[in-house]
Amino acid sequence: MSVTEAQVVAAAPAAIRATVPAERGTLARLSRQRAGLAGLGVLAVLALLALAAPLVSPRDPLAQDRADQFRPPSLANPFGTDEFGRDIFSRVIHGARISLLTGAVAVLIAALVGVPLGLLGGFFGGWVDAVTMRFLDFLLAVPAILLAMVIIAVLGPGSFNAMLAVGVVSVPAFARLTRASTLSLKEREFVLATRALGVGPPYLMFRTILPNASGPLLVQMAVTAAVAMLLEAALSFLGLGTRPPDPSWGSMLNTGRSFLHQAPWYGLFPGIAITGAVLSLNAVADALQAVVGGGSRPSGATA
Amino acid sequence: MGKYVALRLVQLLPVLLLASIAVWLMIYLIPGDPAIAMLGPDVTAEQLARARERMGLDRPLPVQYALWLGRVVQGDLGVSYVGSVPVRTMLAQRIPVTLQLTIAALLVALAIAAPLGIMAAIRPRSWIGRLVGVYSALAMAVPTFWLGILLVLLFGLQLQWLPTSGFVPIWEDPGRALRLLILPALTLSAYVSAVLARFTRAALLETISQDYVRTARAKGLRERAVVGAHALRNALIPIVTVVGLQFGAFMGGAVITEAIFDYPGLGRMLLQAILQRDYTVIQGTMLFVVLSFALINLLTDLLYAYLDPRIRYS
Amino acid sequence: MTVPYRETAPAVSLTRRAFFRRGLALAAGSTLLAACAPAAPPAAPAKPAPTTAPAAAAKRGGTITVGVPSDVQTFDPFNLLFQHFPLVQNFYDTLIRYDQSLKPLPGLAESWTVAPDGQSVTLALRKGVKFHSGKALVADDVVKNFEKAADKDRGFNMLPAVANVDAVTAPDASTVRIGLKKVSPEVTDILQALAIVDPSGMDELKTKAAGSGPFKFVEWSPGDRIVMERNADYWNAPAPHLDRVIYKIFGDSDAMVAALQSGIIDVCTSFPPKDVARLSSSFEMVRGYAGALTYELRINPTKPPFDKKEVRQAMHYAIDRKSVVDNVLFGISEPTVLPYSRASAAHDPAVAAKYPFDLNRARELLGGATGLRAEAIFNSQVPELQAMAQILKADLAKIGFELDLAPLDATQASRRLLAGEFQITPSFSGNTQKYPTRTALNSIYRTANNPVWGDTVPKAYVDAVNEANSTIDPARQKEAFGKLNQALLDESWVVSVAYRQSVFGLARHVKGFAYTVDDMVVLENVSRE
Repeated sequence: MSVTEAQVVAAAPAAIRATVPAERGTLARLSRQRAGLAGLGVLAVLALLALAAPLVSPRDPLAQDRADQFRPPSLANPFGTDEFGRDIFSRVIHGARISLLTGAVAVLIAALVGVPLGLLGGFFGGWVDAVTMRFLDFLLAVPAILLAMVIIAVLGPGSFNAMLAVGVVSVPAFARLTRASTLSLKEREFVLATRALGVGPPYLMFRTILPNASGPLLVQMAVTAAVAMLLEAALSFLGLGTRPPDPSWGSMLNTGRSFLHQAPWYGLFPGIAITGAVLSLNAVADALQAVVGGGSRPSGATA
Repeated sequence: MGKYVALRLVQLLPVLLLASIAVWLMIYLIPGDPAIAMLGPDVTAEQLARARERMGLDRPLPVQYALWLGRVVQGDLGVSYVGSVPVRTMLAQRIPVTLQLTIAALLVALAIAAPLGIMAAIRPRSWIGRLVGVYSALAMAVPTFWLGILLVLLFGLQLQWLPTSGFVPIWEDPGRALRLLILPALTLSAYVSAVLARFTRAALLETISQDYVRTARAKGLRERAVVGAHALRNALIPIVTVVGLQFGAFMGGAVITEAIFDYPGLGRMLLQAILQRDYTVIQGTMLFVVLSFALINLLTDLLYAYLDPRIRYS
Repeated sequence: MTVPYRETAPAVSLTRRAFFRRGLALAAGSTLLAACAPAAPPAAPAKPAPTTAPAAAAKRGGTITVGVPSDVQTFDPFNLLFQHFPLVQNFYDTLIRYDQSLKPLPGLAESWTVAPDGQSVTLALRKGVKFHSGKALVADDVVKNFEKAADKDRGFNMLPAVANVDAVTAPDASTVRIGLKKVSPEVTDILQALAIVDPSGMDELKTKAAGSGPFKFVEWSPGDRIVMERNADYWNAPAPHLDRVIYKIFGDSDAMVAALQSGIIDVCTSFPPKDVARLSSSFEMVRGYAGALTYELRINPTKPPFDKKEVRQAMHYAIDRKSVVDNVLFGISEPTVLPYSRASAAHDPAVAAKYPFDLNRARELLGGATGLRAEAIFNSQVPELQAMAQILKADLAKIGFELDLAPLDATQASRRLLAGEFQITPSFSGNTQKYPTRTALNSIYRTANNPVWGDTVPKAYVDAVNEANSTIDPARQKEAFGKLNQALLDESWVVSVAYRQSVFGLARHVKGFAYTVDDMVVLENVSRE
């Protein structure tokens, strides 16, 4: 299960959801696990690289050597040099920081806003639910990239604002998922029993329901992180994300595109990096899904 | 059924209204206005002030919104601040472009996904099955814009097989239009094709293992008939959902592909309008995007009912 | 360099300085005028342009397609934004024209005479000129154009340009008398800048061009293209030669270059410098006028850390001009310390040696202070500005000055530039090739209502500008320019970096391409092989 798959399922009416199959068979489950572990491994390496970037990268990513414009990959510069003679390899390593951080921050924001919204709507129902759902409908109707663009236009370009924008865009997915879980869980026996003990709604929502809905939420987190990375790269590509001269995979793709003839290798490596990171996150999400199993299905932000 | 449709259509109105208010608020929060966008940084402050006055930009926000709403209700989407062209005309010009790209991309995605999904379902553990799995994983992870650049690099520059940018309406010059469509459609379709392939495969696998299919097989029906008649129909529902969702998403959200291939589509127009603070164009386009998304949702829901008799809307 | 306008036998052929001499019999020091050398020609491009066949032999007919990198917003030539440059000279005529050495040539005005007291200019309008609407051009139309220029709501960029114009009258149908508030050496610049609009079309200029130029407006498909067709009644016969010209609007320059390569367009304006070397063997690369625009750093002298003059002066030594030309502009440019083009009367070749790229000098000027910090804003839609900013940032970092870069979209950048809400900003200025005080048309060079100085613009600068504006004696002018440059360099609130030189990429079958000193495209002599 991945982003749009999950989203598709969540969007479909309940009667249909039952017809969409999950992967069957132990063989399938096991291979998913392997892929998931591999994904986790890659992510760990990336995270390590990002953390240790200043130590690991051979050169200062901002150091210009302007006579050395557009050198092809060599021993000295494994990924070549850019238009200011900066080492692309070092910039790709440092770019990992922005990308991974964006994934983490976006997930954090989306979860911190979306989960309570979903809990509230699902638990209380009525007009509270109606209002939140309409608001989410609006957020979902606008294509993610456009919504992010408008948010950035208001806040101004920059990595943190891009993370914020991507986080906001990812809220509906978390909200919907939590709401669906809440709806199905709140009538279950253990919840009713706890209720009978006389505890208040906050306890019920956060201490009783939420822990039991956390499985699909974890999957959603992995999915959202992947989408967030892609979105951040897209925003940087459009010139709306990371400020120069800080390296970001997306903005490097953008510059690489304009120098396609002068340095065809420029955009190759940042692209591989993004693809690799997203691939790993998707693999982890798939594996988690297999482990967590049934229950409410997660949904992704708009593609 | 008719009542259901009517109800859904009526529910559309508050969504549209809320959407327009939200968009209005957001774009006014963005610093700058169409007056400075048009005049540039070398006019005098007085000229700027007078221009703003002439454009009605100095009026309070709710007043401007109310005026706009009043006109929209009468069917007048207003005129572009920047180019003085009616917004309706601009939309009419751009929508077919994006539509052409969207339909092409979805058709390509289906053309890739269907055979892949079917093959993977029939022979799940073969090398084909694994290949499909790899393809899906990659196609979902590759950033759209990078794929676009790679395709341009490979087919446009290295091999020089295909033109790399531009647009021609398909009814004007089909041959040329198709050649220009190939690369952008491929770029856009990658992600969707992977999702669709997965769904097709999963749905088919599910159906194939079910009882009635086993019965049909036991009866001696040909494999193709078995797969075709029952399984495919079952797979249509998630496929329809995906196609519907993506249709809506592409109509406004294919900005990047449009930028890479210089396609004069809706997404690009909206990006330009945001950069130039062309309020009427932004509002009009967002309205259209939200509306089309909602209508597509409605259509897909109705299609469900047709495809699966179990579903009934009161 | 391709031949500029086709020179019809002019009734008057004058250098700028001779212009004033003719009108001012009483001018003192007229003997000095003979000693003044005409302006030096602009730098020759690397690749010599082919000679243009005489217009009479040029092939008739055909259509060419010109690629432009952005859409227009209006067809009003008074609202002069960069994206309108390729169109203006083809829809409209100006009263006079400049050749590449800024020699005035007749346009719609066949001859012009400055009154003895220098307080007015009388033009003799060319007879037989028709607007595209069929209406004949009369003196009153010119009067109406001057009125439009002086109108706060309709004047746009022409408003400050005609600031010195007093009353404009039409003594008869082909004579225009332009009253000047005070004697001004800039008169030809005004006459060259003012494109004449058909008064009957003045209200619809937002969507339709109404001029007398070589090509007539046919249609505008926003975001897609602009179509123009031959004006058969054009006064500069046998021009134009083409039947139709289509301007195709592109979203980005890479797509435009690709279109040129695949033959979709015949002319590519704003050709990206990075691709010039690559394609110069298959296409003709015409370099535009060096110094039509000048890249610069605009600095706000009222905000720390730039409120100290020395810190601003340090920027002159901290910006690596050669690097900007090589890395950012790919050699299609020249470094410059002052804003003027080479042909300008205020150009001072000696200045460059005094302001080399020298980080030690810069550090000294900073007073050895470290921990200085500033934010540089710029228009992110012009990639050269971003590149310039990055180079400056990297070099400033070496001397302990932290520069944060803040890209903004064009609208925000314009707004903040106009409001003076910035510390330092890479930008560019125009009108740097005309009479030196024309640079004051750019907001940052204004002597009053200056976005950063407000009304307290440095006295030395203001005085020098006024001095240069009020004398037609070349010796006094030269002296004034010297003081002007000194004030500019001393206060350093604008640090010029390099010329912005356009490149036009032409398919080989395009002949007769030309451009003005403002880098505006001129298609009247173009023919298609």
